[in-house]
Amino acid sequence: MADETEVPPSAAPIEETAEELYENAPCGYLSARPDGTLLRVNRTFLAWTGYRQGELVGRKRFQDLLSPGGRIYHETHYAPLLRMQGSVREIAVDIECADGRRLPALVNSVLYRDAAGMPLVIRTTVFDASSRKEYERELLRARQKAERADKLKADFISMISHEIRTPLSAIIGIGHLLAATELTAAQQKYVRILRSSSESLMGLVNDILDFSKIESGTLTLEERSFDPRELVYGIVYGLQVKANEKGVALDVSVDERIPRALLGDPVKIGQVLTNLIGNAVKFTQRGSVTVGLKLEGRDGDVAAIRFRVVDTGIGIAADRLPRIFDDYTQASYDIGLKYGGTGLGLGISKKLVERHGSTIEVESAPLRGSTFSFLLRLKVPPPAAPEEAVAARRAPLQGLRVLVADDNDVNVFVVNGLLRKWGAEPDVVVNGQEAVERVQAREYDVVLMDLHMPGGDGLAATRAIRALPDPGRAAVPIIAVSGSMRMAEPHEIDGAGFTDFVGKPVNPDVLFTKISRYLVPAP
Amino acid sequence: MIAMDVLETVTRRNNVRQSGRADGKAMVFAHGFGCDQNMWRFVAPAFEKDYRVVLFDHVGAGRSDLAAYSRAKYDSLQGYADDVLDLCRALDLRRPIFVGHSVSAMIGVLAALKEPDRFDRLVLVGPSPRYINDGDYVGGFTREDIEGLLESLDSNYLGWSSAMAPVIMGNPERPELGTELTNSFCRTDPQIASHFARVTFLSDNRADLPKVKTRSLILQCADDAIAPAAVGEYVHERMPDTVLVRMKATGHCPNLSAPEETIAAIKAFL
Repeated sequence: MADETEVPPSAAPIEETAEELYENAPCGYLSARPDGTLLRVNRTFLAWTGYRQGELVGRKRFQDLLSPGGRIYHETHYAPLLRMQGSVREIAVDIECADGRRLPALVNSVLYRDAAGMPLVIRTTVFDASSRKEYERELLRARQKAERADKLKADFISMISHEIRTPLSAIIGIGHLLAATELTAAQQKYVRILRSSSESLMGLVNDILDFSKIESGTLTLEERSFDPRELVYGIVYGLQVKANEKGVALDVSVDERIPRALLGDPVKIGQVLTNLIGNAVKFTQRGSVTVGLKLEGRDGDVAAIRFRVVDTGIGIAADRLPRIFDDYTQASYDIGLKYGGTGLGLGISKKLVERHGSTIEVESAPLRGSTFSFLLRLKVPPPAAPEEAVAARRAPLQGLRVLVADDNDVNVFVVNGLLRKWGAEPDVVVNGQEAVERVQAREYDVVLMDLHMPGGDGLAATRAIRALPDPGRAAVPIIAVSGSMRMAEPHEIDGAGFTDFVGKPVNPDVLFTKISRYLVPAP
Repeated sequence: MIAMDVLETVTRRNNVRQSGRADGKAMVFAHGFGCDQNMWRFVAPAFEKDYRVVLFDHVGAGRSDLAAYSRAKYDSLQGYADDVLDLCRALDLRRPIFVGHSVSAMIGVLAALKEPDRFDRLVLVGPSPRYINDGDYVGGFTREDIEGLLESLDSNYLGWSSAMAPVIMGNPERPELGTELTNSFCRTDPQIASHFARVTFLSDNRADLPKVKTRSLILQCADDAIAPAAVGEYVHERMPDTVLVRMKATGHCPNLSAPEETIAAIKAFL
């Protein structure tokens, strides 16, 4: 309009004032006071919403035109953002029209300030988002459908895993029972294979179940009191046989300052430790695996504890490190072939630790070994409630005198724990010589003789006890405890005079049955 | 003993920022639903001369550590209250003043109930113990309204509003153009925000109010759509030791719309 001469003379004059553009723009224009009170509204907006100018200007605030939910959104998101940023972009709202209809809209607002910086006016543009809303709804529906399908799949996996577990538990249980019967050497071997295979299958099914639980978000952490030493020793104890067989030392060191009891989910923490220690043993051919628990800080009733598993195994190449925690991933394809396993374990461990608000850290060098660690902040429960009542209630071996001959701290910790739980009174010696001396000095109801003590003197000690002059002492039931029969020749065991044999890791039920079996009934 | 690790964990988890007098009495500012510690940018600096000012983001908001989010823990406001107490312990704050806006007012109440000797004072900006009407109690909203809010959240997160902005601009090679479009303050993770909204607006802390021993200030705005005046009165009547200040400021965020009045009211109370 600045230069009339530019307009072709044949064209009719075009009424294109700023006013015109404002009123009939393809978007709504609103001006409002800082508190939202409407000052000016363009014709487009009025046409869309069905309001008359007089109903809005000076009478309503912008937020009054929103649905109640939208009003909350306005107060909690829109208004604060506008104050802080001076503008907001592309906020989706529903505008309530004069006839009660809701108009889906996208709004952009700019806050103008006066020279002193005080908010003066809010200028808002409103775009009709009806069709976009339709697309969004479709998208949302598609997403929900996909999520439902995913959940259905997870539920299915979970259901099937549970179904598999039931008969599998029966197989494992029968395997235990079978192992406790009189068997030939060949039958013993078959039962061992049956048991180890069914247990590893159970492990796999449990992994799948956990995985689907984590995936579907139904995994929850419990909080109950547990003894961290018992947890770690118990796990190490369970894995020691495998380590022994490979000639790998498996050591534990627990920081003395770590409390006796912590609050947390011992099953989940145990699962992570079992996985990490199990892996460490699996991937270490020579050297050692060390499990360490260290108190890194104590703040009020919260203890920060670093769990660390160090091995001298094959290690992991730097380029493969980032992927080892991925679902279904092993560092390389041939790992699965050579070492077995599904590769689910680390993924599950990672997620379990993440559920605790922490992460698993790993350092590794090929052929040098790996260190996995994680820090958990666990609450320390108030001093324990008296447990005597519990102990008295289930103390089937009350007062039983048991001599435990074992030089391994972990074994002693676990076996002692079991015996005490049953009400027995265990004494501990660390070699065969001491065992013989103790049996001479005191009357025992049963002796648990480890066959792995240095020098293999469990055998010699048993022979010596059997040769004692006092016929009562010489006849004490002696149960051999051994991880594998390879540690001693069967005929040697037969000749040494053992009353029975318990395999390692000791299954509590088996140990209990065997001890009970040899008890002299009370007169 | 203050364990460095715990301090680090909390600092990272809640994006803790400190300023002001290191040896001063501490003031912990907690933001409400929908925003992050930026909420306090016009208010907090006014206390830096005399106080140790502690700002943080609730897990899920701002620059908090999203990995620390657990649905189970944050399924009630207590989870957030426990974080506040963690923070006080980690920073070794003795008898700090807790300033909580909106839902954080109730988070402060829960924290003060769990550790009654922890806080010297509470400042509750726009508190509401229950947002949904219940019999004679007028919270201001119905359950349907809250569903509407969740829908509103969904449409703002699902949409192109912030996450999709660079794509809309068609300039993926110039992300700064997209960045300008997005709302850079008060970032929240969509799923967490939706859960937080549910936890916040469906919570009911009315029974907790009479148990609070800590002396508290209630700042009530005029015409607050989220926490109406009657709700402020309700909190004032039920909580034993409170001062109610009715502000001239309107809306739900006086810390942004009327920082001077907010500062003055808090200072007068302290």
